[in-house]
Amino acid sequence: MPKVQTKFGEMEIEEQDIIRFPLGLPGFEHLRRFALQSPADLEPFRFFVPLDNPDISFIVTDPFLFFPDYEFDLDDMSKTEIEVTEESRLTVVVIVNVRDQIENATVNLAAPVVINDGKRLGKQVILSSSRYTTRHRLFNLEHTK
Amino acid sequence: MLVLSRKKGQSIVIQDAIEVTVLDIEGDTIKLGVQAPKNVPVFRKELLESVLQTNREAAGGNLAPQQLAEQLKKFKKK
Repeated sequence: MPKVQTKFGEMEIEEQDIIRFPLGLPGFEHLRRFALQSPADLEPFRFFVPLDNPDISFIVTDPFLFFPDYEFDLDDMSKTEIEVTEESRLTVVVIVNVRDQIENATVNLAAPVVINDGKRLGKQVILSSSRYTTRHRLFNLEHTK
Repeated sequence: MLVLSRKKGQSIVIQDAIEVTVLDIEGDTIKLGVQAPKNVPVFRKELLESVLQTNREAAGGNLAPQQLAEQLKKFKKK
């Protein structure tokens, strides 16, 4: 690789950082290889870069940081697809929708991105329970004013 | 499109594997029960559409990373 030009500038991406998404993402089924980048000044946000089309890029974050009660069961089919076993370590991030102002950012809790760290395999899992929506506000302005 | 009339308690079967039963009818709301193998995902259509839509929006976000970092700094100070 290791340098990739992305929408967010040049990034260094090592071979072992590449995560394969066998099904792509809903709406982006042709994108199969991604990398997570964590620039220090963007903490707690990370870039989720599709290496097959670095012109677009996603911003993701740790859902448990903003929603401590967030939880879901990974369905059996998803477990098979990303080869999850008892010993697997998983990373869960959710896609952030920023538009123009960070204050108005929402996250998609209904479709978390689940990554099997060891296997470097990932999937955006759609949760069938109606508990979460695709647009939860990240920041509750009432509390911060 | 195949159109079938069903009464409460009646079902349709798709490919011997998927059974959709009308459980209840109340006003304009119909409660459906779906029995399907584990490898057949079943979703409300509007959820799938919403995931597609939000993914497209998120990918097309036009905030540059510098702007994002700036806004984030401001936000953390609050």
